[in-house]
Amino acid sequence: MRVLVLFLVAFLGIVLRDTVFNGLSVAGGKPDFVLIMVVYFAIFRGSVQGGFLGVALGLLEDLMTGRFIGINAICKGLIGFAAGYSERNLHKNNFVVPMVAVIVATFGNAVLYFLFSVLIGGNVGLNTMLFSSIPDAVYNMCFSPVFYAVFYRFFTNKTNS
Amino acid sequence: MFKKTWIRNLLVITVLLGIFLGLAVNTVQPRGNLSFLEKGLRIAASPFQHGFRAVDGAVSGFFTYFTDKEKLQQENEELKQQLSQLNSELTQMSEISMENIRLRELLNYKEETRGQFQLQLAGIIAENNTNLQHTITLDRGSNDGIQTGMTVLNHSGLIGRITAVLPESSEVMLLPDRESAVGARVWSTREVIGVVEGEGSVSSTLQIIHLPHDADLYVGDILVTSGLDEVFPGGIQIGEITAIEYSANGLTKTATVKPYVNFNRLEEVFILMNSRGGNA
Repeated sequence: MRVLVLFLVAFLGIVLRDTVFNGLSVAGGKPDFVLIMVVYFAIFRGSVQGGFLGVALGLLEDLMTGRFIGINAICKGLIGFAAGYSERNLHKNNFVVPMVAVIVATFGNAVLYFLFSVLIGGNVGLNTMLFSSIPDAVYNMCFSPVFYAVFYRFFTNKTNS
Repeated sequence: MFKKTWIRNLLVITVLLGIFLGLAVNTVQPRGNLSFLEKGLRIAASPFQHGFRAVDGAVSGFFTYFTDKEKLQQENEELKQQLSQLNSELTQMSEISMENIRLRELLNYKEETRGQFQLQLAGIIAENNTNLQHTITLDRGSNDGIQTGMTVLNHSGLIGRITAVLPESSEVMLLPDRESAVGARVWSTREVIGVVEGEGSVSSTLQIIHLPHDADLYVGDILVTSGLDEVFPGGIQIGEITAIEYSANGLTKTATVKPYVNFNRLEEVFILMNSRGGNA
């Protein structure tokens, strides 16, 4: 049930990004709801579960919008796996740290996207990729408190109970 | 124990990397048909895209109001002074607006019955512009007779071609997409000069690379589709040459092309219904 909800939110997030947020795009940047979800899920559930959710939601994104099936699955999977390593070390009560985590994840995702795109024969400039990630990172950071509050409430309540 | 977990994780990552890289390599070229899963997900997303698109204008307008508040206040003062004049023009504008709607309907009718260039009007319901791909989703699909490979254009010129079709929607690979290429000729001389390629950004220009140094090409030349690539029909405007650069050894040159279509302001487009295989 929980997984289904995550998939539904990701599904709507992808549709929203390509429709409503086209009109609200700032300097070409749009929020990446899937990335935010993967990072926060990994922070609370660890690298293995974070990695698998990253692969699953990344694949969903690829199937819904991508022409290159698998690129987002790889990138989001690795981001989830890496973010999961902060599970034990991160002060989950401090809301600033997860915001920074999302910014780092946005740039990390851009670098991974670049590397794997080049590997499969795509022609993408690293500078273009990183510069276009700046507005994306700002947008993601703005949305991160809302997502973090929901994840925090859900996972800490569950732990306490 | 810790080492065991690491080895297991590494093994899983390697296997998944192999699977998905293989998938990505196999899908790197534009595909005519989408997989069952892709079709299912995109069909499921289609009603949401239509719905969200409807509120898109209202939402963006709401935020624009706040960002441009100072500017709006200044404009408001000026507009008050012009109010009396605008009132008289309002009636006239309404007349023109209604006339425009009628003319648009007439134009559609005329185009549809023209025979040679049968055009289908389509609206854009989603845009997917990343550094790797530039595509738009149209609200017309196989139920409207849309097929893969059809040319998409507007009054300004060539926009792209249909790369995937669903019952209620279709996807268009835009001209600035890195995978996009179109055979071009100079409009005035009719000389076929090469292939215009996308540079990967909707705001940037197109380019023609590896031109012979003595190619008869000048800044300001207008380019149209050649029709020789058997993808796009001939004679559709592409853009204008804005710069020509010679390579370091002087053997070849590269031309920069500014497309006539503003890819950032696409709202409605035409699909050329009888353009498959460059036969239009």
